[in-house]
Amino acid sequence: MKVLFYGKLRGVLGSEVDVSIETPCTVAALRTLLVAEHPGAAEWLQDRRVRAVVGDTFVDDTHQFATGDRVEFLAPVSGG
Amino acid sequence: MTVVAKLEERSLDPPAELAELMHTCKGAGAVVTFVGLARAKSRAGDTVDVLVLDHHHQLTAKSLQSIAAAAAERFAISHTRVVHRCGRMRCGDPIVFVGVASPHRRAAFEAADYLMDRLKTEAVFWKREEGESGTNWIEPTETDYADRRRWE
Repeated sequence: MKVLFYGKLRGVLGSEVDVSIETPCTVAALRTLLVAEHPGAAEWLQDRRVRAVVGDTFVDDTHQFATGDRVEFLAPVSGG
Repeated sequence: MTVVAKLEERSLDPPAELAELMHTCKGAGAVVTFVGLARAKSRAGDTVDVLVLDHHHQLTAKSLQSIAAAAAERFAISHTRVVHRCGRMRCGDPIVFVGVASPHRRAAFEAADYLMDRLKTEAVFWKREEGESGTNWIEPTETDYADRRRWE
């Protein structure tokens, strides 16, 4: 499945990565897998301000997603 | 009560936004506006050629609507207008227009201040500066977060 990234995460990981993971799966488990596969991005992926979004809804790390869900990680936002 | 929150991908014309607000808020006693502009220099003092605001296809517009609606709910204001750019901007280009109308001035000043504090820390955008020092992602500062907490 594809996982999408926004903000400074893009600078480290690009806009998306392909991961192979069994679903249903928690966001926390996905973070752990991403850190293992992209250790250079660990600091950013483990930042508590980096929020997960599944199906255009903010979710916490206990949320379980399924195959076909759109899963995204958002770096800290800033407008204005 | 009128609440307008728009995402503009190409250009933002503050005088036109003010004119529209003035046109719609007849009977109000006060209008307060704020316009944020793309700066020429980064915090470190380096020249910035381009400011880029990335956005999310769904959540950005939703965040603008939510923040504008919260201001309308919280303050004694009659009209709220928030227009935010995304995409690439050059020095001096408007990034955001906030306009508020109210029966009395204090509520309009406070609502505009509140709107900007929330937009700085919660509007779903990702900013980066491109210039002489390369590409730098811009995140809210501790001061920005402290400003936001004033309203809790």
